[in-house]
Amino acid sequence: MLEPDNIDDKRFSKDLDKKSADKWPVPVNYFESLPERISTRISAQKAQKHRPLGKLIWPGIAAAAVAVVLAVLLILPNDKSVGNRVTVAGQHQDTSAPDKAISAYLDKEFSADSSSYNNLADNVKPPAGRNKPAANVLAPEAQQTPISPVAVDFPEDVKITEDMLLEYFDSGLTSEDIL
Amino acid sequence: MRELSDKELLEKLRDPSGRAYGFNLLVRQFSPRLYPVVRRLLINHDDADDAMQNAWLSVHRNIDKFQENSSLFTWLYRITLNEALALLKKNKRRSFLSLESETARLARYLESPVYFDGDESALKFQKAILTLPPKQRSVFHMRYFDELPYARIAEITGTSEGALKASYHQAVSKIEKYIHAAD
Repeated sequence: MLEPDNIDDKRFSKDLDKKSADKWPVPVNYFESLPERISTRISAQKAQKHRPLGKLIWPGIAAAAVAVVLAVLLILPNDKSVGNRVTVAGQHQDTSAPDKAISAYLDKEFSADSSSYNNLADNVKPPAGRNKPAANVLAPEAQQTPISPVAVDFPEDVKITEDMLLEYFDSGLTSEDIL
Repeated sequence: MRELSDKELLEKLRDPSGRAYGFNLLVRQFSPRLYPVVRRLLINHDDADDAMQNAWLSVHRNIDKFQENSSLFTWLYRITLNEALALLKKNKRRSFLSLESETARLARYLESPVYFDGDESALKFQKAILTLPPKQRSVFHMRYFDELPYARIAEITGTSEGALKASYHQAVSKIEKYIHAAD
């Protein structure tokens, strides 16, 4: 039975000498120069640790600047494209609309001042067969009722008259019905 | 130059002002004993040098974590052996697409006097060792060439003594078989 603790060279070969089987030529002064080479690598690693931060600052700034420019370029054309997008809740969202007529009209007639509603109401004639004054068409409580904003796209070439708007508010028709 | 004890070396390494000097002494004192560990596995001096440098860099990074649960030499041996095995694995991966296997490449190095100094029987013996898997090869080296006790090999490899004895026994049988087949 093989005893792992008692292996001698002759077990493998009658000519084998353990010392000669472990002879590895090493370059001259290898062990003397090794500490110095390791120190150099340690210094290089330390220097490399500091370098990435400095290296990353300028590319980082450049990348941020490019991102800002791209964002501006992407946002600006969008602003123009939604120029004629308004809400019928009485507030228009975008004053840079190309259709200045609609914009100006809505500014004038649907400002935050509730008197604009009264102005509109003054111009409304009482419906036939009803004895109600026109001012009651848009009663104060009705004015306070929150109206959820609905985005409506108005074609630029359509002229919106006061009558059309009054009819809209009175009848609950959709913008498609008016247009 | 007198060899310093573990305690003396660690005192120097833990003193911030003498750390660089202490590390230099550590490298000088242990490199000649650790070099054969990597050279036997990697055969080629350039690879062995790479593994040695990586091992010392790792020692430099982790010296503060050394808890003195083993001797300094055992700790260094473990790090060096791991670096050599890692490099061997890397070389094996690299030679995956090569026509020549890693074992054949190492055997070819052995035949060059630049890489190996032994006589014919020593060369045949080294070629037989090359047929072993890397970890078994390292166990054989530790036991046969370095004559380390199993307890110490167990400390280095983190394997039980029983498993190591079985591994060594198998390695010896394989080597014998290879040599007799070659004769």
